[in-house]
Amino acid sequence: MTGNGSDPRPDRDPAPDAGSLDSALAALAAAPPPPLSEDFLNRVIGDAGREHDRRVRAAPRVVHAPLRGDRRTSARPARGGLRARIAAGAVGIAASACLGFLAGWSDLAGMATPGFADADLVAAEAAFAADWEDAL
Amino acid sequence: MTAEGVDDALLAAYAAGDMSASRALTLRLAPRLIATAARLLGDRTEAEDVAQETMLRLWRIAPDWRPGAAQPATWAHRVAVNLCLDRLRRRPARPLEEAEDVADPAPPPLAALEAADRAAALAAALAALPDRQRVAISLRHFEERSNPEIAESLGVSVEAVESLLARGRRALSRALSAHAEKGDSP
Repeated sequence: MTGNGSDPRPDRDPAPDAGSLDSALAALAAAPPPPLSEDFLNRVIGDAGREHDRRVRAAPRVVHAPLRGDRRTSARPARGGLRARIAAGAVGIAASACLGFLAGWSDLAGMATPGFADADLVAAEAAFAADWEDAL
Repeated sequence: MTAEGVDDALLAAYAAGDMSASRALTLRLAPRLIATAARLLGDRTEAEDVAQETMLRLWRIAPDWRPGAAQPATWAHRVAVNLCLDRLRRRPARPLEEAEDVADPAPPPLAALEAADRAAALAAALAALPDRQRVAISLRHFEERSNPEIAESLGVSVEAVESLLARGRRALSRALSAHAEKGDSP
């Protein structure tokens, strides 16, 4: 530990038994350090815990609003949204089918004209039904 | 894994919230920090304060620590030495001339010399040295710093460092001689 042993430049007032002192200093440097006291250990670990807590408190909190582009917050709503979209799609398909069915009846009645009102449609259907009964 | 790798891993574990890592790292680093600080300051209690402050700085830097960029033990040792030097500068200053004129320090208590081995006797004699002599000896022999580096740390000339080293070494040699004589006597 003392590396080059004695000082690079001779002491102006050489110490007696310098070699013995150097070896003693080297032994002291190599000596194992004394064990830690429990009190010291607790203080240092307490510091570590407090520092960790302080860091956790200082960390920015995660906002759980469903922000667009936030993967953490959009993941869950996305699954619900998909189901909603599927349901909405099914409703839309059903509605289209109904409209198509009504349009078919309207076509059959020869009344598929732009601006055809609901009341006219009801009247047309009634007329068609009457004609159908007459035909039978 | 190397010792340095273990220190790096423990520091990273602490940063991730593993409190048991802080205990393990303290057990690995703090003993040497205290030993170094005690040699420089000549006071075990003050040395523990320095070691605690050093470890606190390590906890604070842990999240930003980059493994491999530096060794935690080396970093902590350097911080501890600097903290010791700061404390020594804040101590009531005595002119260098006064420190050099101080008579050879009183030898450690006889009972301590009789009970301790040679290294312990030397440690006691080291602690009894005037601040500047003790710091010069410690930086030179334990921290392996050059005389110009010591001069810069203490804010004195290189010649003054040489004088401090000579006086300190002489006092330590006398303490060791006294210890040996006591050991030889029936």
